[in-house]
Amino acid sequence: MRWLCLLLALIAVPAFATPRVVALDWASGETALALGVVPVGFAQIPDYRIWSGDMPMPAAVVDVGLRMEPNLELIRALRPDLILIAPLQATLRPQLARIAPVQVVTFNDAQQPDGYLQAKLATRELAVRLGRSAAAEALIAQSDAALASLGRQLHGAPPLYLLRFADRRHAWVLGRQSLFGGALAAAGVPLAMQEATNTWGFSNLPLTDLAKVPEAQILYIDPLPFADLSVLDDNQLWRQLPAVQAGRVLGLPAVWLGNGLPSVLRFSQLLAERWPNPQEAG
Amino acid sequence: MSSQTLTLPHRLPLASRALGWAGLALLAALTLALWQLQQLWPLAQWASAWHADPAQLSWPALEWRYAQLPRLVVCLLAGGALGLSGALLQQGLGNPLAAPETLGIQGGALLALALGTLYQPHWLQQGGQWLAMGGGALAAALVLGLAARRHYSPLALLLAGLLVSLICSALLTLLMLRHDIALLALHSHLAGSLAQDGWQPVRQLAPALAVAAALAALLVRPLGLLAMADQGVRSLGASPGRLRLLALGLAIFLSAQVVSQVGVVSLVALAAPLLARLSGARRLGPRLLAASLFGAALLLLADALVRYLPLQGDAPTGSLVALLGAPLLGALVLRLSLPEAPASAAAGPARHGKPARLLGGLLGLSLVAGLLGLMLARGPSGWQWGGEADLLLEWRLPRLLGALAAGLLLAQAGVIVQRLAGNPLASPEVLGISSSCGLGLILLGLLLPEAGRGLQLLVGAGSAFGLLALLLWWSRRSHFSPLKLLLCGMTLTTLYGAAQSLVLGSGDPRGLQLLSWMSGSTYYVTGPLALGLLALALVAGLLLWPLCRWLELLPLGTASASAFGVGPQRSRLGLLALAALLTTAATLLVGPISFVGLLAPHLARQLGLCRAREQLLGASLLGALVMLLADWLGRLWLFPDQVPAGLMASLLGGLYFLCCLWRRT
Repeated sequence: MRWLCLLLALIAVPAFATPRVVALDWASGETALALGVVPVGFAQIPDYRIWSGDMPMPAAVVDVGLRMEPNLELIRALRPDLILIAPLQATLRPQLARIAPVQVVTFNDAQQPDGYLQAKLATRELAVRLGRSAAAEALIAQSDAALASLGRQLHGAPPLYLLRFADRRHAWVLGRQSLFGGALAAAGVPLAMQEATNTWGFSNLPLTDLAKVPEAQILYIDPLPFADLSVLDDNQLWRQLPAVQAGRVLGLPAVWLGNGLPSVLRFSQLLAERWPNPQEAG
Repeated sequence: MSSQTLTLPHRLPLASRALGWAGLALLAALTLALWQLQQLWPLAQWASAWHADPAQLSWPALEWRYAQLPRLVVCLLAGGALGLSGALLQQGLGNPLAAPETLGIQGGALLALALGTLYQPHWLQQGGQWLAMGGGALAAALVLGLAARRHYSPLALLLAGLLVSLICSALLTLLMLRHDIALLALHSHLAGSLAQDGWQPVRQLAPALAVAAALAALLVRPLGLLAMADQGVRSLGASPGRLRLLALGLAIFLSAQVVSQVGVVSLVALAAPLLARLSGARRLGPRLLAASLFGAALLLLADALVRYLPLQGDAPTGSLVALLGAPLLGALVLRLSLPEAPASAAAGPARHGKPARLLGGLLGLSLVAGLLGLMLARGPSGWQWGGEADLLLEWRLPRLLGALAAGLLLAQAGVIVQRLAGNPLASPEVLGISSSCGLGLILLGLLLPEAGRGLQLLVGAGSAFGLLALLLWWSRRSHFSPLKLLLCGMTLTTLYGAAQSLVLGSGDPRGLQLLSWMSGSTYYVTGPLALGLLALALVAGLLLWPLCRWLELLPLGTASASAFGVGPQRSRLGLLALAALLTTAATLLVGPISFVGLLAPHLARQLGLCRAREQLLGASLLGALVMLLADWLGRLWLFPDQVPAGLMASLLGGLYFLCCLWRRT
């Protein structure tokens, strides 16, 4: 199967030419970058920097405007060979197809219960198109290995509520269908979130729902929609949550939940650094 | 309810009857809410759960104590505060339609909160009520400053409020489009979610309401004087200006508290004082009290009923109050006798001496704007003039033609509606025709996301025509009273806003897509579509040309129109259908709020184009000019991000009208 893909890739892309890629979806964009194809255009770069944390972004990459409405004339001026979009951006396709071939890369699929598996599938699909299958396999192996090591470190951890605060009273709680939820599941870390989620694998829930699994540990991802966590001191129900009472709340620096495997690597690295060591805790 | 009617003898003085009604309404709502509450946690254990150490409580008891009970209290306080603030505004301004949402207070407060979230998050640490108050006060000051030049006439006040709210909401939409993720935190606020997680908001709202109520009680006597003419007030030794300012200050304080602690709850502040008035409270004291009680009852009832709706997660009570309350409010307004402002039809400059020369000038300007839009742009290497032929013809031209077509369509619809209503303020946007069209399209988008352009056109035109027919029926009863028309438009705009925030607040990612599309982007316009709409605009123009006689005669009144052989019913219906179709086509292109339908006919008249044909031509050219400029500026301003042309046009138009109101004395 793999050699067939490779063969197809060789036919599709001249062996030595790096395709000029415009990425309108962050997940495909950062994956392409990690596979060694620096995109000529990338959507909403200022926001990508805020939400994705310390991810590489070469200065030569041109910001082509908002993800939902990128600047068509600018994309056209970049003369791309390929434009990468997410399924949510499918309404852009007719316009973009006039500029260059458009590839819809599905990093989030409503039908796929495992977000990490879906990201691996999408990475392979993208790599075939970019002629970078070997690099993709290396990236996947690296990511699998990082998660395996994370799983060994977190062995015996309580179930995790992985979330991003939406406002003072709500959080996007990630399930297994999300990228990081699936990654934790692959690492063998149990998730406390069992409810139905949307295509991106999260559900916007009131914070009070976090009481449903009393033994859970809360793991939240920055940036916060308020200045700092002390804002929640006013929130009596938050303070009474079993996890908060027991001090089982851990924060992670910014890493965007809608990205690809490079962000999984960052996520697992951050979690491994921040996770309290059993010796210290004891 | 009928048995309760019997318990209220009609011999009671009016004031006690009004208070009795308000008390009964509150009692009914409270009973329902308390019944719901005891289902969550049994009544017998309330006292023990209240006094226990929170660490010892079971989760349902904690939810009762820190979520549901405070939610009930917040409903009472916020509803009461809104009712009181509406009643104070209405008294202070002598205007039965004044409310935080009609005076732009709500819009200003929200915009300030959004800016704070983006640029100064630590200001929001304590809930941001000061920020909300600042924004609300600024917006209200602007509205009042504008209305002061026309002696706070109800019409001027409403118009200024409408303009300021629409500008605020356009700016808010722009921020939400550019900072989609960061402003997600604002969505549940926009939808007015009443969910609570402690007693903090109660602790904020209760003293605020208490202080405001005490001040209002002290002010009842002097404020009551405001019903008199200003000279009368002065002769009694009071200063009407200062009294007004006090009443307004209190009202702004109250509504900003509610916006920052709860979020957007529309219509309660408008409806509660109306209910108090309708139930017979004439004097100010009882009216303020009855309005607060009605406000609390309304919000509590809505919040209790919302839980029976099949919605996931937090039910956003604020949006639902607006959705359910708007039709009720419409019915209430019909029963109310409003001070009638004379239609300012005569106001307007004299006819231009050489209309042909003026029209030629406008045509030239439009051509220049079109040329600029086509040739001058920003690219990867800075400013550029011109470019390859296919860039200009296949990429830029369709957008320009789309904007041009939208301008033409809206201007024509605007001329028709203004002439039919005999009212210079009537326009597809102000009457809410665009909003009702947008509402229909939102519903269609949610129910049938795959709907094609044809179905969209059908549904949009259907809802626009439905509203226009309703207006026609209404016009027989109120003779197109300008105030009532404005109110109708505002109600629909509220409805539309509520539907939009409901979609956004649900966390459905399609909401953002909807937002960009509904704010009027020429982005998806392709060559054939642009040409089709342009053809529609030209055909409509040709159709209208012979009908201009009707447009000339109908404003003169039914009798004179019949005397000249124009059957008013049939001609009105035909013209309205045409206006509905034009509005829908334009709304599909540039979204429901753009001001062009108001701006273009108005400008044409200001320039001295008085006859129907001249006005039609002039307005079309002006509409085209404005939309071309809006599309061009929208592409340049925040490059590489793009501001949707409809949004840009509403900012330009809104600013122009603000200047207009400011200048005119």
